[in-house]
Amino acid sequence: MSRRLPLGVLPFLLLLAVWDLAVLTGWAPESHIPRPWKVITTFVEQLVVPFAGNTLPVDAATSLGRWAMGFALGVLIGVPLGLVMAWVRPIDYVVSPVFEVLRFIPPLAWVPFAILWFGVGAEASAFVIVTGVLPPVLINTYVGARAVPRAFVDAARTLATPAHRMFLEVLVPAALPVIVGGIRIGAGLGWMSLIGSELIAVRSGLGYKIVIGMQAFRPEFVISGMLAIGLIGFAIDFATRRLERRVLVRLGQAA
Amino acid sequence: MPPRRLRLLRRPRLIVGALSVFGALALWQLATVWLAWIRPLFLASPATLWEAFASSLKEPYGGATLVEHIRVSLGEVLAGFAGGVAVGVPLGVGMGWSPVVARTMSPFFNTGRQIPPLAWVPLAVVWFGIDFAPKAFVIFIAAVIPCTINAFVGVRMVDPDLVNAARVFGARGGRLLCQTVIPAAAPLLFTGIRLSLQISWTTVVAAELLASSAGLGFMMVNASRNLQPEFIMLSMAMIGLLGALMTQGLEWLQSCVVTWQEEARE
Repeated sequence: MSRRLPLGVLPFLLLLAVWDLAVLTGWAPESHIPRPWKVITTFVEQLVVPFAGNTLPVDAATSLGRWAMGFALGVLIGVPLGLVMAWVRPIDYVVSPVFEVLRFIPPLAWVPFAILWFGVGAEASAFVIVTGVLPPVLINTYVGARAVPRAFVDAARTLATPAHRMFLEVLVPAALPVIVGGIRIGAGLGWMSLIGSELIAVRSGLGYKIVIGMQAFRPEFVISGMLAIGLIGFAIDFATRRLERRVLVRLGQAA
Repeated sequence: MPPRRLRLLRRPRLIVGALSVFGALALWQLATVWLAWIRPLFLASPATLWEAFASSLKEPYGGATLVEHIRVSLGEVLAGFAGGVAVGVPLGVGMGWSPVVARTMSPFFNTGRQIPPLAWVPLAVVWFGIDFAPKAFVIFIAAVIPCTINAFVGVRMVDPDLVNAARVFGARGGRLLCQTVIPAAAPLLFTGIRLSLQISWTTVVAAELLASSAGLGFMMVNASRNLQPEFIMLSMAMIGLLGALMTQGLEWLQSCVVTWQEEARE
């Protein structure tokens, strides 16, 4: 480890040095970019002092709550729909083309309609998150369930397995590694969609906070908000990776 | 050779798929016009959308015609995307090829990519204003990530036997990299480039929605303020169409460049 550390910190040091020098020499005006230490003090300060209406932890909790709602909705729609599409051919034929057409519209492009349909607020944001979470979850579930070995299904059929048990005890466990992979990707995309929707469609949360920082021309608030967004994004990624790993270990497929 | 009609009938997927899309269109017409379930304010009818399309080609909407809006968005996407690929692919290949580069750049790259690209938009606006530069900058940040990751994984996953075989034949350094490693990693390189393209479109929309004076996202903002769902739908359709076309183009390019992929599979 001691051999690894010095090389890895080089780019960070370089960035900080260039950043601080650029501000000190006046090449980058301090109104556009604060000195690095000011970002840290702003971040710490915001833990207790409200900016744009709330303190950082309160806004983080708001954003996380919205994300959790949209993420849960996306998984609750995506996994069953993916399984049904993989299993019932007519539904696959009917849903796939429509889904294929809509897939190329980026999640954030739904924001204006979300506002039109639900007004400015949490529902609009949840809708946008669902459009971000749904595609990877749905696609992975579908692909995972289609790849379940025919022998498993045939074996279960020979034992006269009823349809609901076929789903819960054959298809889902066999497809689970791929499904969980889709859930992990969806979680990350959902977090990004949430931030995007908060930039435009909601009046609270971390995304809104950095927009207010932008409008007030206070880059130290923007950057400290970005740090908070990055930290939570990292936590979500870490948690879903742990989940994926546990599922693989449990199924005996961990590398 | 069976008659054409019969062959078509043997492909139920295609028929049902076409019927399904037509069904969705019919339902749309039914809901907005014939039965008028949905108020025109919430969803435009097909005819209104078509009128919006036709009129925006000739008369400016939100200060520019449709073609000009497309040109603005497309220019931003192409600049950011090209920059992201130009930096991301060499960076990823370098990290995959040289342990020193990997040890130097990995922690930095992995820390930086935790911040979702869209969260850079407000800062980019503070730095560069609301025109071309902030969008190109944010799209660059978004596009660089998938390119780098896939190039890195692609180079790391190259069969060591292949590399050793090339070494035995005397290939070294740059030649080994360009003639053995990169061609073998090409499929994943292209996957990364395709993902970069998709995220580029997602990002341009978000950036234009937040702050812009032209482009398809600006058209959306304008339409949303004036409660004109037909223009929201028009810009959504254009974004989807351009994204799909460029993805298709990239796949076509991949099939032209990576001709050895098929041979390898056989």
